[in-house]
Amino acid sequence: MNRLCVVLTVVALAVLIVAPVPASAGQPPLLSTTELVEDSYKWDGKTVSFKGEVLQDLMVREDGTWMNLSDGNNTAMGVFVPKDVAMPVMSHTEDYRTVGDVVLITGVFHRTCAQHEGETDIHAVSVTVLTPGSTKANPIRRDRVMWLVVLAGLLGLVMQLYYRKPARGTEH
Amino acid sequence: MKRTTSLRRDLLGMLTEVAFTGSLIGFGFLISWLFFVGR
Amino acid sequence: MVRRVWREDFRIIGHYTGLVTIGVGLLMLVPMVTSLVFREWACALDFAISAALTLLVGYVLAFVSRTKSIPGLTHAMVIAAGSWLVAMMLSGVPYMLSGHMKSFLDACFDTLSGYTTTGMFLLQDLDHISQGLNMWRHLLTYVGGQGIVVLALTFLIGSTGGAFKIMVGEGKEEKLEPNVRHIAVLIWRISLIYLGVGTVVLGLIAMANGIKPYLAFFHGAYVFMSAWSTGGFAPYSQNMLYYHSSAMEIASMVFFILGSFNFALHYAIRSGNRKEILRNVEIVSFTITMLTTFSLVCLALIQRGVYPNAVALFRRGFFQLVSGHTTTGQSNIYARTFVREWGPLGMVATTIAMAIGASAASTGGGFKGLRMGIIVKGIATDIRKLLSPERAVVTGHYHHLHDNVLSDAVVKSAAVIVVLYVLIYVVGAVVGMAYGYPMADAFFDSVSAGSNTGLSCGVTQAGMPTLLKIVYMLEMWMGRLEFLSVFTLFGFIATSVRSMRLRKATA
Repeated sequence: MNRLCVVLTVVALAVLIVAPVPASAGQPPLLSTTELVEDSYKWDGKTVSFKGEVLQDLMVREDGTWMNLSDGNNTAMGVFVPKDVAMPVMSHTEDYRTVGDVVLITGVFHRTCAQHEGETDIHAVSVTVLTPGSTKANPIRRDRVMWLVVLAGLLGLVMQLYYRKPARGTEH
Repeated sequence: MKRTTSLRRDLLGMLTEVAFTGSLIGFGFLISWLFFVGR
Repeated sequence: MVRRVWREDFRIIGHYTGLVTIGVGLLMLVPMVTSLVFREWACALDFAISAALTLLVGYVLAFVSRTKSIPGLTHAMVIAAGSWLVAMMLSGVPYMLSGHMKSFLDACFDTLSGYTTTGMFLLQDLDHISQGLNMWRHLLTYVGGQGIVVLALTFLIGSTGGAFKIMVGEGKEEKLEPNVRHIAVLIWRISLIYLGVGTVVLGLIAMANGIKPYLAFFHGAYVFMSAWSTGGFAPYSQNMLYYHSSAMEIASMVFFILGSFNFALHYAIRSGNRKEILRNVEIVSFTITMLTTFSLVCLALIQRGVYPNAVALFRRGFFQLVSGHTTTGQSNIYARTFVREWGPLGMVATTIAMAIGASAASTGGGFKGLRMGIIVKGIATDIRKLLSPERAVVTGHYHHLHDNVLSDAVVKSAAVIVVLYVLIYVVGAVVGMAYGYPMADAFFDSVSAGSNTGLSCGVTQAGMPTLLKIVYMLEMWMGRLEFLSVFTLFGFIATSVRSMRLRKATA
């Protein structure tokens, strides 16, 4: 059941991320982390679009902000938003208890960014929040509480047996 | 008293190790720089 | 060890395995508390359940096999190999409860990878797990690095003789001090002090880089535990790329290089013998092979024009190579970048570095710098013998804590283990190639598993063939225990079966 919740969350996110963005003429191609890394030479220096959920830490530095956008199962891309680019306020970032904002960015992809010492990143030119985040349920399941009670009970029993002093003086 | 000497040993040991490792990393940088300059 | 197996043997093994299991159960309380701190109630409940189950199994084992006998060397080896398997399965319970695993096999892969400080993972959607589960993953590698056996030793076993033998089975054979409790305490002391310093340093760097204070120190702890144990896990799927910080990477690098050093060396330096760090054969070997393989990496990267400047070449090339050579596995590039940009020479040089690995009696893997040094010196001595007049007596020496004679026996035992490591590397690569993976890729990930490194070029993922998963798991397990324990376990099982048949026949 818990796995179902996780799968549903991931599927929901995936759908949000993969869902077509209304395309306007000349919109930079929407790519995934996998596509960018596999064909890094092809996309090096090109303007691309990228969509992902904002991961927990937004790191504000002197010349801009770093955010990590998750666009799938174990794939995420680092996006650098320079100081002069408008950065919308994020309502939520990813957490165990929250789903982060899904954000669409356009920017220049760098295979080995010279400014950032060889990093594979995207320097954003525009940032838009597509879907604001929300809180996740993570309910406590009654059957699991029951399991805990049963196991703890059995454990108490065995521990008692284990630590009980032998009736006679000697062990063996 | 024994505590302070013990901690002092720990600190000195750590400093030695970190210094050595730092120089290894420095050598690494030197090599990459040499390769790049020499290409 | 070809003798009859008696019931008492099973009792000893069962009892001590039970004690180790209890240690693991207690360990699960740490992530449970972490979850409570972050108000991840459902996750805390999962860990409470896991802890209760693990403790239950441990106590039942220990109770049922109750014995006062001291383990012999054989028992110790079997306990060491066996308790890893029990711990692996029970430690997978929190993973299963989180819903992030595709199968129980995958969960076992991840926990085995954690305990053996490998660092490969099959966990789904790492970017969305709880703090509790992240704490568990990193804690596994930290504790695994120290050896779960040493953990049990420190807190649960009072006697000395038996405990030392268990540790020998673990592959950490250095004779530091006669009293084994003392050794365990010393290992923990060094590691805990570094844990404190490391968490603070990395936490401050994280904070300076824009991570909120209450989270920064958890990141610091995770990255430190991953680095010191040469494990290679990181809290997010981007590994070290998540932080976009050279300070973080360099600090982590210092810790994982230190973690790859022999604990006897740490002890020697701490005791005042600071010159040892320059004379020790393992350090000399590591320095030479590290700089050599790095030069090869530089050659490859320059030739292919991968990086735009020297700093980028250093930051990406050096980090990956040293991460590989120390068998850590942290990475600041994407996995597929090895294949798509670095190319075959870069990958092969990294593979060789991983294969050699770290120092003996450390948290690292590979066939170890000590053996590399011994074999090279052995060859040099043989050449000298050939060139010297027949009646001259030529003896080689190597310096490891003190001067040692390079006898034929020493060279032979080093060579045997190296052959065994190369064997598992090759078998893993061949199985990979049989499934269609390119040669460089297959070797890269196979050596990564066998040397407990954890770097991947894309082969290791949940969708990989099941047989390959099992092969890598065997590689991780055998590589970490340096074969002897594992062979003893198999030998023990074979002998038990034979003994039982004999008993039946004579009954």
